[in-house]
Amino acid sequence: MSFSRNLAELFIPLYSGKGFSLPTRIAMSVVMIATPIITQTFFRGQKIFVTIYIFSLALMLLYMCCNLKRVLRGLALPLVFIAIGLVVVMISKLLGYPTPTLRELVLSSVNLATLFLSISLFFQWLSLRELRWILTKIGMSRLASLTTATLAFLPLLLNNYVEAYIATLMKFGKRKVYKAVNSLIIHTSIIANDVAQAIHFYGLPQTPRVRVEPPKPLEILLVATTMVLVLFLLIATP
Amino acid sequence: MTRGLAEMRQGGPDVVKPIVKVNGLWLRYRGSKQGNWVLRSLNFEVQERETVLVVGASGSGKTSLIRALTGVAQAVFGAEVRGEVELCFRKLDELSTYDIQKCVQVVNQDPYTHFLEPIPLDDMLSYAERLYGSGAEEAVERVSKLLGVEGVVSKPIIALSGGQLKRVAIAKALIPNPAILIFDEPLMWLDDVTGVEMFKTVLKILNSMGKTIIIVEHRFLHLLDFVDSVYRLSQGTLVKVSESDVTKLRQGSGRVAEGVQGPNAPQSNSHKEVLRLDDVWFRYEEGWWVLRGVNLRVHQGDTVVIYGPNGAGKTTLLRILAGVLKPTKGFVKRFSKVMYVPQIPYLFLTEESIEKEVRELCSSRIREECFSRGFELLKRFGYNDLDRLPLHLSWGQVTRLATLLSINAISGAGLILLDEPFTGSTYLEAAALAETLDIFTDTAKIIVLSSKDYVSLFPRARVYMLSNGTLSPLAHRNAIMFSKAVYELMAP
Repeated sequence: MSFSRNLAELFIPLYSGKGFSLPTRIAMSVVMIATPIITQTFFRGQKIFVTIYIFSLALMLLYMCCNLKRVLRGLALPLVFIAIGLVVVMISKLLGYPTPTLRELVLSSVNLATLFLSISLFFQWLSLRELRWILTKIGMSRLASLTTATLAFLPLLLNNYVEAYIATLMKFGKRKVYKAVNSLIIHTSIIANDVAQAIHFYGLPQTPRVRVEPPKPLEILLVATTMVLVLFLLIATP
Repeated sequence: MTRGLAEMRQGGPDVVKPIVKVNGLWLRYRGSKQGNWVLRSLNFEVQERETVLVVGASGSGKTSLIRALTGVAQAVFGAEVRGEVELCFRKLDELSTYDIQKCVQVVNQDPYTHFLEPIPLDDMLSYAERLYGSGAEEAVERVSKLLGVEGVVSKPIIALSGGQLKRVAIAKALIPNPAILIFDEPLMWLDDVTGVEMFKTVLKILNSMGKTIIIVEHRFLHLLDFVDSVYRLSQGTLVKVSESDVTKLRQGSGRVAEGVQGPNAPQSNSHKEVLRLDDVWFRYEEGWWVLRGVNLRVHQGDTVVIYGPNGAGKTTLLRILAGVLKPTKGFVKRFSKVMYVPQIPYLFLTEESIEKEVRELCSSRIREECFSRGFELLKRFGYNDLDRLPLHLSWGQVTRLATLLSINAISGAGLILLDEPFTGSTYLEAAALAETLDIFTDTAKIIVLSSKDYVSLFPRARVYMLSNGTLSPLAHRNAIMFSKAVYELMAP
C-alpha cells in the first residue's frame, strides 16, 4: 500500500521554484534521461564510468533539490524488476541458455535505476505550472490541462485508496480485499462529477504565465561540463 | 440578521430586489423512474444581501436545488429541468458561463474538488489570470488577505486541514467578486472550535461586503443568528419556515455546558476485552508525534466516543485501531472482529446494489437472520429501493447505510469503528441512528466526532478528548444543544 503511494509521490511536481533557472533544470534533466538510454541502446549498457557518473549525479541533485529519502523509497519498484531479471538470468543459466555476464547485468541494472531517478528528478524539479507551460509550448496544451487535473487529484485518490483498503480489509478480510477497487470506482465517479462542476465554474486551468529567467553563467558551466564529461566518458573510456 | 435588511425591504434609497427568482422549478435525473421528480414546482425568491438557510432531510434534494440554480444540473448531470430561474436579474438560459461565474459561486461539501492544481495558489492564479489577466496576482492577494489564508495558499492541498481548505475554497470563490455565494454544508467535518467559528467569521465578512448568501446545512443551529430566513425542503417542495417557528428554534436550542460521562461510567457487564492499547505512540516518518502514550481498554458492548478538533489525529488513531498502521511505540491488541466505516462513506461500499451489500456482508454469518434483520433495519431508515446503486444516494444516506450495514454484519461480539457517522444527517436522523446503535448491546463501538453536539446522543458512553496526541476524559461538554420537540417543527 505504502509502496504504491511512495512511487506515485515521486511523479507529483512540487518544486518550489527556487534554485536553478528553468532552462538549466530542463537541460540537465534531458541530459540525465538521455544518457542511460543512449548507453543502453548503443553500448549495451557497458560504459562503467558514465554509468557511475550519471547515477551519482542523479543522487546528488535529488539530495540537493528534493527529498532523497522519498526517492530512494520509490526505487523499490525498479529494484523489484531488477530482482526478477536476476532470477530469470539465473534460471536461464541453470537451463544452459546463453546469459549476460555479471558485469553486463550489474551495469544494465544501474542504468535502469538511473533512468528512473532522472525521470523522477524531472518531475520533482518542476512545478506543475512549469510543466504545463512546457507542454503547451510544444503544442500539447490539451495534455497539459489533463495532466494538471490528474496530478492535482492523485494525492487525494491515494488517500482514498488507503481508506478503501482499510474498510474492505475489515469488511471481508484479505481474501476479498480486491473489492476496494469497486469503492474507489464509485467514489472516483463522484469526484469526477465534482471536478466537472469545478471546470464548469472555473474553466480548465489556463496556460500559465511563467517567468523564464536566463541561466546564470555558473549554471551554463554546469550544463556544459556535464555534457562534455558525458561525451568524453562515452567516447574515451571503457 | 444582516444589517438593515428589514428596513431596506420597506423601501428607501437602498431598496433591495430579488436577485434569485425561481418559478415552477422541476428537476429529475436521467434514468430516474417516471414521475420521480427530485424538485417539484418549486417557487422562491432571495433578495439582494439576504442570507437564506435551506434545511431538509438528507436526500431531500438540497444539492439538486443548488445544481438547478447554477445550471450545473443540465450542463454536467444531464438532468431534466423545467421552470424558470432568474439570477442577477437575468434568466439563467441567457447567462454565459462567464456571467454565471460573476453572478454566483458555489462552495461544495468537499473543498478538495474546488482545485484543479495541487497548490491552491497556482490554482487561484490560473483562475484569476482568466478573469483579470495581468491583475491576477493582485486579485488573489486581495481575497487571500480577506479570508486570512495568505500563509497556507502556497502549501500542497493534501497538507491542509479540512477547515483551512474550506477557507481557501471560499477565497477562490470570491475571486470573480460574485454577487451570490452558495454554501453546500459548509460545516461538514468542521470542528466546533476553529471550524464553526471560522465560518461564522466568514459569514460576517461576506455580510459586510453585501453578498447574498444561500446556505444548505444540517448543523444549522449554529447559524440561526446569522440568517434572515429559513426554508425547509421536503418532498421536492420548498416551504418558508415561519418567523415564530424560527424563534422557537432559537429559543429551544442553546449553548449548554454539562458534565459528561467519564471513563469510569457504567458500561456493559462484560469482562470480555475486544481491544487494548498500551502506551501507544505514533508519528509519520520523522514528523511530530501524532499520538503520545495513548492507553485504552474496550470491552464487549462498550461505547467509546472520541472527540477532537480537526487535525487532532482521530483518523490516524482509527487506522491504528484497525491494524493498518503500526504504532511507533507501544502495543495494540484486538480480540475480535473489527469493522471500519471511513469518513468518506462511499469508500465502505463495494457492491452494485444495497441488497447485494447486505448479502455479501452476511455471507459468513447466520445468513437468514442477518438478511432479515438487515433489511428490516434499512427499511426503518427509509431504504425501500434495495436495487438502488449506492452511488445515487446522498452523503448522509450513504453514511447511515454504511453504519447500519456494519453493525448488522457484526451484530454480536465485535467492534465497529465509526469516523464521523453523523455527517450529512439532520439532528433527528443522527438521534435515530444513535438509538439504533444502542440496540446492539453486545457490539463495542468507537465513535470519532469533531462536534460536541452529538456527544449527548450516547448517554452511556465513555467520552474522551483527543488533543495534542493524548487521550483524556472529556469532563464537560460545551455545545449547541437542541430540544427534539422544537426541532420536530421542521421534521420532514
